[in-house]
Amino acid sequence: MLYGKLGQRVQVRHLSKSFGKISALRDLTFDVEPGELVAFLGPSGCGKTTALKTIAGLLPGHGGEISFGGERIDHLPPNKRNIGLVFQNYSLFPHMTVSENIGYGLRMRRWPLERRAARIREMLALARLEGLGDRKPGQLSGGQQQRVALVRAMAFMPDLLLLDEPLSNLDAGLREDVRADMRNIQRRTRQTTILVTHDQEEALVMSDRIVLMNQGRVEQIDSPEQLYSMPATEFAARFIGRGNILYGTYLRDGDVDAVRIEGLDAPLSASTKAPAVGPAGSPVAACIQPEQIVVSARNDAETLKSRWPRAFIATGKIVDIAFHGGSSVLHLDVEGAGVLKCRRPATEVQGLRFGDRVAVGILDCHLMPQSE
Amino acid sequence: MTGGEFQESGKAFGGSRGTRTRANLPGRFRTGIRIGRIALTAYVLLMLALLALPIVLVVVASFQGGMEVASRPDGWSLSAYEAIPTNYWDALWFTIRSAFWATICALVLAVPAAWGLVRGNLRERRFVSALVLLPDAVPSITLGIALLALFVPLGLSNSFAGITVALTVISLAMALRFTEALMGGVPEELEQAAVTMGASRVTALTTVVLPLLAPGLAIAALFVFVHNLVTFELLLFIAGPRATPISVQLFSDIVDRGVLPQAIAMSAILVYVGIAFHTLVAMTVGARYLAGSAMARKG
Repeated sequence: MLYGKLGQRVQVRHLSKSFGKISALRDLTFDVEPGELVAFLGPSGCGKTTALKTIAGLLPGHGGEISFGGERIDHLPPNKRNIGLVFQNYSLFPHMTVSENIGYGLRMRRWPLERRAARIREMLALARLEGLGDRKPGQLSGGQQQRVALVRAMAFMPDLLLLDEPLSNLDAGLREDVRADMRNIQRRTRQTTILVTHDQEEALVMSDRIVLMNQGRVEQIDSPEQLYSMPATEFAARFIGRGNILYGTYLRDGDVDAVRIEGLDAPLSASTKAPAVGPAGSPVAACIQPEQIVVSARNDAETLKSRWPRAFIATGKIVDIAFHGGSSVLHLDVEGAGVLKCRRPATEVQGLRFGDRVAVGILDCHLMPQSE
Repeated sequence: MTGGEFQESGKAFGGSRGTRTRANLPGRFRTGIRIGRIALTAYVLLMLALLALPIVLVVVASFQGGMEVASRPDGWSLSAYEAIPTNYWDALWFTIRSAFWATICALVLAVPAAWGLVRGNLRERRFVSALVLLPDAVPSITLGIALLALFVPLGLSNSFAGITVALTVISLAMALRFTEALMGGVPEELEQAAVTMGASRVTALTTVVLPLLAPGLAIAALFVFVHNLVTFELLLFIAGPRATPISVQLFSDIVDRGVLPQAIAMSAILVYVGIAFHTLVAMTVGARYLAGSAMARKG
C-alpha cells in the first residue's frame, strides 16, 4: 500500500438536479472504474459543475442514485460521503499551515497523531513540498497551492476525488507543468478521479475517458481517442475537434459508407460513422479531420490520385498558410466545399505559398447525425 | 465619463506629445480630484475641531480642577481625581461589568444569527437585516421608556440583569451588522471544503470560520463594548439606586450640583478606557483590521 487503498467503482445512475424550473442536470448516468480519471467536459453552463457539486453532496435535493462499490451514498450528507473535492480557487484554509491543511481531513476522521503525521509527510513528498509544511498557504506560489489543495483532498483516502477546473486559476505557462504533475500524482496513486473542465485539450490530455456534456445532458462518453476521431454527434465534433464539417446525404454501397455533399461532383468515402446515423439517404454531417486532407501543386493531381486512389480530388486555392513547427496549417478554398482546414507535415507543403492554386485530396471522413 | 470621451479629450490635451501623463488628464477630471482633496481636508479639520478638541479640553480640565480654569496653564494637579467619590468608582465598575457581559451576549447571539443570514440563503434576509437596524432609527430615549414599561412588571428595572439585558438588546444591532459583514467576507467554499473533508457544519464553523472571523470579532467587541460603556438615554429610566451606570450617575450629579471637578475627572477616565481598548485591539490584531472593519460597518 503505497499511497492508499485502491478505490471502488463509482456508479452514477439517472442523476438529475433542477433549480426551480430550470433543470441543470438531466439523467446523468456513467461509471468510473477504480483508478480511472474521467473528465466532465462541456461549454460553460452545461451542468458539469452542478454534476460535481451534486455528487459531492453540496447541492441537496437531486434525483438518481450514486453508489461506491455497490453501496449507495446519495442519502449521506457531504461530510459522510468520503469524497475529496479540489475547488477551483483551491480554498485552502489561510489560518492553517500547509501541514494542518493536509491533516484537516485526518483530524476530522480522528486518525491517531502518529499516523496523521506520517500521512502528512507522505502527502508533502507526493506534492514535492517537503520542508514547506510549516508555511501558510499565502506564502506559496499558485502552483504549490494547487498541489496542496490536491493532496489535501487525497490525504484521507477518499473513494472518489473531484477536481473542479483545477487549472483555470494558473498562468498559461504554469498550466502545462501542473497538468503533468497532477496526472502523474493521479497515476501513481491510482486515485479514482472526476475532473471538470471546459478546456478540451485538458480533457484529452488528462483523462482516461471523457463525459461530454451539453445543456445538462450527456452527449457522449468515450475515450479521448474515440471522442476525437469518432464523435457521436455534430456537437461533439465541433466541441472536441478542429475538424471541418460538411453537410450531405448518407450513401451506402455494399459495405462501404460514403456521403454525397452538395456541390461536390463525387461522393466522399467515410470509413467510420456514429451509431446514430440513420439509413441510407438520411441527412448527415461529415467531419473531416485536418489531417485527412492532402494538397499538392496544381498540376500534380495525378500524383495525389496514384498515392491515394480512394481520395476525392478537387481543386482549391490557399487562402491562409501558417507554420506550426513540425506541421503547417493551411486554409483551402475548395471548389464546391468552401474553406477547409488542412494540417500537413511542414516538409510536405514546402514551396506552397499563399494564393497558390492547388490540387486537394480528401482522404476520409466520419459521419454523424446532423444537429437540429 | 466613458472611455471614448476620455481618449478624445486625452488626445486634445496632449495628443501631440504622444504620451498621456497626469498633466494632460481632461480638465474636468482634474477639477474633480481637487474638490475631493478640499473636502477631505475640511472633513479632517472639522473632526479635529468638534470632536478631538473638546475631548482634549475635558482631559486638560480634569487636571486643573474645573472647566472654567481650562485656559490657564498653571495649577496642574491630580486633586480632581482624588476627589472622585466611591459611588463613582462603584458606578464605573458596575458599567464595565454590565457592558462586558452585554458585549459577550450580543456577539454570542450575533455570530450564529449572521451565519444563518449569510449562508442560509433566507428570503427574509433583507427584512431581518433591516429589522436589526431599527434601534438605530428609533431614538434611544423612546426605547428607554419602552423598556421601563416592560421591565417594571418583570422586576428587571433597577437591577444589574435589567441593565445588561437592555445593553445586549441595543448591542445586538451593532454586533449583527459587524458579524454579517465579517461573515460575508469568508468564502463559502472554505466551509464547503471543510465539510467535504469530513467536518460537520458546526465543526466547520468552529474550526474554519470562527478563527478567520476572530480578528474582526475582536474589533466588533471593542466597538460594542465602548458603545455600551457610554450608553445613556436608554438606561436613564431603568437605572436606579441599586443599578447605576456611570453615565447616569454623572448626569444626575451634574444636573443636581453642576459640573464638579470629580465629574470631569471621571469623564476623563472614560476617555482613557476608550483609548486603552482601542490601543489594545490595534496592538493585538493590527491597525489594518481596525480601518477595514470600520469600513465594513459603514457598508
